[in-house]
Amino acid sequence: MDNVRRSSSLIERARILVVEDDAMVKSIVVEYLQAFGFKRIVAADSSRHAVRLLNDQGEGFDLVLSDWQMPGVDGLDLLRLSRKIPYRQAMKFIMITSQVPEERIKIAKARQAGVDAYIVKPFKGRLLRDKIWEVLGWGSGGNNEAKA
Amino acid sequence: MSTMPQKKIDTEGSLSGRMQAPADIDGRLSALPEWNHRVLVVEDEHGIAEAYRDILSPRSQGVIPIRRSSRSAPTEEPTKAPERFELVVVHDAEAAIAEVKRSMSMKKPFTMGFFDVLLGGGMDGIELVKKIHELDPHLYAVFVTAYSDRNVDSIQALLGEEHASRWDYLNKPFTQGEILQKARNGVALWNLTREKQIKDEHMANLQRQLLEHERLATMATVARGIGHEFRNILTSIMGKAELSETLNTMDALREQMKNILQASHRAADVLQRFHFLHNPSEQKIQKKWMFIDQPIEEALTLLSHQIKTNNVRVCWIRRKKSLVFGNETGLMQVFVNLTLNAMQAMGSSGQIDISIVEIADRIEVRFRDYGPGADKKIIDRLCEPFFTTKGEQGTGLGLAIAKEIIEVEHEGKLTIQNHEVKGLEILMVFPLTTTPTGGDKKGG
Repeated sequence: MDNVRRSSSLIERARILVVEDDAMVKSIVVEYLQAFGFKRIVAADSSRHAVRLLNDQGEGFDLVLSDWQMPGVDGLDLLRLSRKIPYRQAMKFIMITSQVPEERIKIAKARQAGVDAYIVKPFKGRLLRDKIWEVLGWGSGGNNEAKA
Repeated sequence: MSTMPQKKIDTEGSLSGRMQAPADIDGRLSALPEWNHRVLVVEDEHGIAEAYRDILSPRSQGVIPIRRSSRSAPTEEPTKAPERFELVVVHDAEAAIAEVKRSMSMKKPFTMGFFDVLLGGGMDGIELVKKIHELDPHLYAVFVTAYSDRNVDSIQALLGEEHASRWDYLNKPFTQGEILQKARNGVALWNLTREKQIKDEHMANLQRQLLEHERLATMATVARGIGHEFRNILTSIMGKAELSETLNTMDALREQMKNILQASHRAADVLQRFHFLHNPSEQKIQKKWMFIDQPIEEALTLLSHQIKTNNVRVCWIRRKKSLVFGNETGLMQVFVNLTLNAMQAMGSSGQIDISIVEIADRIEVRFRDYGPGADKKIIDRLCEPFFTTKGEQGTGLGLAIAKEIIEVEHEGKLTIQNHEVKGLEILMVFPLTTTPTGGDKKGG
């Protein structure tokens, strides 16, 4: 019981940045996060917007969920940038990608750049949830906490 | 008789027919079929027929027994015949026709034949050859005649001008050297012609394959973009459906269904775009009246994903609604190629300016990028097939194909120049045609 309460408060406190230029995908990711119990969700519909947010020390984020392919600054650029910002070192980063052959190379690049996890479109809610729980160190898989 | 292996020869209409010559990995021909040495002799005098055998197919290989004709110089040396002719000797026209028919059905045609002009029986040598050429147009005929029963003019008159390259003439009595050399010439002519056909066909095949490869490469690029869009749409549809479990009012559920339907419509739209590239070979020559900006717009829509992710702005400078009578798929491929080229030249971001204007009797379509342009030294070569500046990434066919589609299929002109300020400009000029329903030469 204590565990559940603690998790719920963790979930409610966690602040997540969603970066996705496709409005449909952005809205579904946000809806998933809400269904998982997250309360503090910020959605950026362009990487430029995301760069502005990440450079603002006043904006604290525990996790970034970012699309890969975006015009101008892409997901990998965003990841590299956030790894350079000293106050973003603890922030987790999950890349959302499409699994076409050349993207496997990109995934390898993202690993080098220090991505915490990646998720391939289209995905199920359960998988998204597991990845988030995993990177936030809340344990993954079979627990029932805050299940969608 | 020679036992030289014979390659299968398709004899219907062409020496090589559908035969595919083997090619190595670079597309070069690595092997051509072995030479065909089949020779037909039609001679009703058995003694002369024997002479042919002695000259062309001697029993002791290599050296031909000396057989002097009255015309042969007394010092003529036995002639060496390193090749083995596969000789078939017959004594009348009917047997000759039967042999030719048999050779065709066995796909072992004769390369050439020696025809006695005066044959016993109904048909003479010339009529016979005329008949044989109906069965096997590639057989090279040498008329062998005594006295002057026929001169070359009468043979020419009988066979017709179009047969002139397929026969020769020799007077009796002949020397072994004459026969041997005529046989060599006939065999060589036949085999070299076949080799040339195989090579030409091989080249045409390669060309076709490269064009197909280029088309597939374009399709793959378009398909990648579409795949990406589909993943987004599916993510949305799957998510909405999954999350509908958590909804507990009918209204919320209805709203969610509406969202799912919307996403599905978007998927259908994406597919609709793709259908243009579905089977271009079928639509290849179908032409219709259309506004020239239509295939441009379609190309841009097909590449919308790439345009977006490459941060490219497309500006319509002028957009005259000019009508062309054209092949939509072909023109779209042109603009897909030009857009891809422009994006590759510009890198991560840039702009493409497009303008359509009508000047006097022509339509000018300009397609300009803001990349580095092309080196003056190579700009004229950009439309050459296989010329590429993109290394392994390019086939060197994109612009060549664009030029062909514009110039051959649409009677237009495609030129490439550096823009005076920046970037490369492709200028396409189409003849300005009259109204679609008017009496235009291409209308209909």
